[in-house]
Amino acid sequence: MFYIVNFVWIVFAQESWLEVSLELPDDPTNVVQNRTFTVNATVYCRGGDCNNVYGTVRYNFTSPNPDTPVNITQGEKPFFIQEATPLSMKSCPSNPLIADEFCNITWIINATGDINTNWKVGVLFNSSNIGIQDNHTKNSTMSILSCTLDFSLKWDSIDFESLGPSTTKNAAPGNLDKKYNISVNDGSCNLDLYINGTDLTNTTLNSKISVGNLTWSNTTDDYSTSYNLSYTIVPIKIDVPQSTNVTTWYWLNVPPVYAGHYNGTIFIYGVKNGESPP
Amino acid sequence: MVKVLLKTLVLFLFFILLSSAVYAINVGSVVKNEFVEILSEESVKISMLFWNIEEESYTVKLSVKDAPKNWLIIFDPSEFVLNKSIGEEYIDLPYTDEKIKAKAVNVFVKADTNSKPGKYFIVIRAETKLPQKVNGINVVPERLFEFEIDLKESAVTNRIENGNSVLSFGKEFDLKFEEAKIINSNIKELKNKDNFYIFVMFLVLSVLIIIYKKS
Repeated sequence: MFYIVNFVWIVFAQESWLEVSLELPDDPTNVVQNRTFTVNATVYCRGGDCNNVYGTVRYNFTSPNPDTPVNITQGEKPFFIQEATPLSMKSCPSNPLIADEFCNITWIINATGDINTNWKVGVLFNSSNIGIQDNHTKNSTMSILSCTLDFSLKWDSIDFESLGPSTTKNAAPGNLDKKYNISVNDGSCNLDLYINGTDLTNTTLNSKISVGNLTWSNTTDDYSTSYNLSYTIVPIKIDVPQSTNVTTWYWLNVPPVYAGHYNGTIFIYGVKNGESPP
Repeated sequence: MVKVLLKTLVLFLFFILLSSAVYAINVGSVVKNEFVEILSEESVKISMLFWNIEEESYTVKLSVKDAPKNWLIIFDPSEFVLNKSIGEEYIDLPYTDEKIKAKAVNVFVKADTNSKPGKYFIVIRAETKLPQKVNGINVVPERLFEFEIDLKESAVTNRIENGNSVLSFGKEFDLKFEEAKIINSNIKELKNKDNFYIFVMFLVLSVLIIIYKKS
């Protein structure tokens, strides 16, 4: 009798199983507070048919590993599903799954938890066939961060091309197209942007164009609005919020110097608003 | 005079810059714990992340711009290459769907033992070292990070102060050493006493055996 029962269990319970994987987020991932991230998991039906398969996105609320479905109520901490019709448990769109069929489920989740907290996130898959064992993906640790210090320069050099000596107000070629943009990226704290520079030098000729011959503007493509660049660090713009482009324009006054290639550097500084200037 | 003439009479054009392709530069970073508490005898770890969403790599060099005198600040690592696929962790950025890796950096801070309790600030500079152009005006982004450190009295000093005698760490150590010596001598005394009792008991037992045999 014992052998018959055991045999039945093998035939009906072990023939199909759920092969699961967590595609996103990677482990470990950092996310800015009150921003969304994607959870994406895949399940394969193996060994036979799996009937209807469901995935539940979970996080660790009461234990070290995920044990609680992510909230669907907006604003809930530490996460809530930010979708039109939020569901922590979703059914595979291709249900019922037949042997070797797979499905992929995605959730968009908002990280509302406290700053500097870490959470484990994973997906539990189960089948409507009670004989098929539930299977949980591996977990990813999510760290919730305060705003970042994140900006981009859309250019890495200024090409004045060929200029004659003793010429003034030579505009940088990118001025017209507003190429010299500084972007404070989405998710960044408000930033204070500063600028300074070095002399343009030609070491072979031992000649230089002093830094003050370079001028810059943060308002318009008009030389008269420009300031002389100097060794001293000065603000370009203070308290620049995220998702903002700050356009700059440059001009060069060429003094009577030897012909040749001149090298120099412009430094752009990003500092979190309110912190000490450079 | 000749030089001046040469300068002013140069008629041919010259190149200020001959650059190839222009790249965008991204500098991303976050400090995981900007405000930290530290005990005067201990060090504290500040965790930072750095990333670069662009393909083009650059090097980041960390240095101390401002710090209280004689404070020890160590970066691990202090210089590293950064692009979107370098780093131990990932950062989910709201403005890109790409997988971006982030480089984890630890900053260890140890206060000077003579520093008084209170709030201190440390400013760290992150220099971006881009591949140098042969000619031209390079544009280099830099970042500065300010940390607020709340220096607390160490537990050791606190304990002594509560006993109404302010002692330095060294004196506290001496004190403990003295205590240890006293304890050691007490143990020796106890051991000697034990040996004495055992000897007496052995003597009594021997006498009893002799009496018993003779009787």
